[in-house]
Amino acid sequence: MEQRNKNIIIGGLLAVLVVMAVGYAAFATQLNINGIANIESRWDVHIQSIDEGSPSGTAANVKTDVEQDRLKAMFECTFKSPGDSITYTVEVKNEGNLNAVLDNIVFSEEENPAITYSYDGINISDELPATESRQFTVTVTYNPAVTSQPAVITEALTMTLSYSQKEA
Amino acid sequence: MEQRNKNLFIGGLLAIVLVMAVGYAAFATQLNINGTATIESRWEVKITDISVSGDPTGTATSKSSAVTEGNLAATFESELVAPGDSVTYNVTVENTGTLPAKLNAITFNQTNNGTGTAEAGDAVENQGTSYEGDNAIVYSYTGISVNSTLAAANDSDTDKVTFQVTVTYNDKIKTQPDAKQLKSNLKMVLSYVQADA
Repeated sequence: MEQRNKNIIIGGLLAVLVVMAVGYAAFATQLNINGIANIESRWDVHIQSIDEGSPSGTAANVKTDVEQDRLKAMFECTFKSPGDSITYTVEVKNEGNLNAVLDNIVFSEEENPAITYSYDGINISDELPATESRQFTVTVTYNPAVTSQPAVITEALTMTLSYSQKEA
Repeated sequence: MEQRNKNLFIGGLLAIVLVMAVGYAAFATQLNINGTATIESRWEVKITDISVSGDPTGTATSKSSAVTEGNLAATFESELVAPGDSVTYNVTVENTGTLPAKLNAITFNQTNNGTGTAEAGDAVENQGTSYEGDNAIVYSYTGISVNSTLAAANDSDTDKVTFQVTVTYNDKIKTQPDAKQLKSNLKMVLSYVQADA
C-alpha cells in the first residue's frame, strides 16, 4: 500500500511536470519589433566669412581668418591717428535644416580708452532660419578724443554669439 | 495609499527630470569673433635743448636755462643791468615721434611782476614778434611761426627747429623803472598738432 501511494505520488508529480513543460512549451511565441531610426535633421550654424575690412583714415587691416571648424573668426588691424577706424563684415550662416535663434551676445568690456569697439546689425533674439545667412559689422576705432600718446597701444576684443535651436 | 502617493510623486519627478534633460540637450552653438587692434604710431614732440645764443649784450647775464617737465617745458632766468642789455636763448623743438606735426598756435604772454599781464598778443604768423610799450623788460622771438611743420623723426633735420627767444632791457627807458617792472615773467606756449598726411 505504501509503495502504491508512492507510485501514485511519483506519477502525479511526473504528470505535473509534463503539464508544466508542455504548458511552458505551449503557446510561446517570440514577437520581434525591428526598427530603424534616422536623424534627418542637421544642425549647422557657423561663421561663413569675415571680410578684409573697410578702413578709414590711416587704419589698416593686417589679417582676417575663419578657423577650420568655422566656429571662430579673427581679425588684426593697426591705427596711426586718432579717429582711424576699420569696419569688418561678418557673415553667419545656418547650413542646417533646423531654425536657429540668437540667445545671447557677449561683447568683451573695453579696458583701453584709446581703442573702442562696437557692433551693428545683429541683436539678441534674431532668428536665423535654416539655409539662410546674416551679416553684421564690427567696428574698431582709435578714439578721436585722444590728444596724447596712449600708454597702452593694444586692445583685444572677444565677441561670442550663442545660437540655439529655435522652438518649433 | 500613502505608498501609492509616494510612487506617483516619484514617477512625476522622474518625468520632469527627463523632460528637462531633453530640453537642455537641444542643439546650441557658440560662435566667437576675436580681434586685436594695435596703435603703431607714436606722437612725441618735445623741447630738447635751451642754451644761450652767443654772448649776452651789454652787461646782461644768463643765470640759468634748462629743459624741464619731461621735455615739455624750458625755463631761463637772466639778469639785465642797463637799458639795451639783452640775452638771447636758442630753443630746440624736436619731433621724435612717427607722425608729422604742425605748429597750430603760439601764445606769448609777458607778466610784469605786480602790474598784471602785459600780453604780447594772440598767436601770430609773423616771426620776430615783440612787445614794447612802456615795459622795462621786453621779450621777443624769431625763427618759428604758426603753420610751420616738423617731419616725423628722421636723420635729415626736418624733424627739428631751433628758434630764438630774446629778453631785452627796453632801450627806450630813460629813468629808473617802477619797482613792479623790475621783474618780468614770460610764458610762451607752442601748440603742436598732428599734421595732415
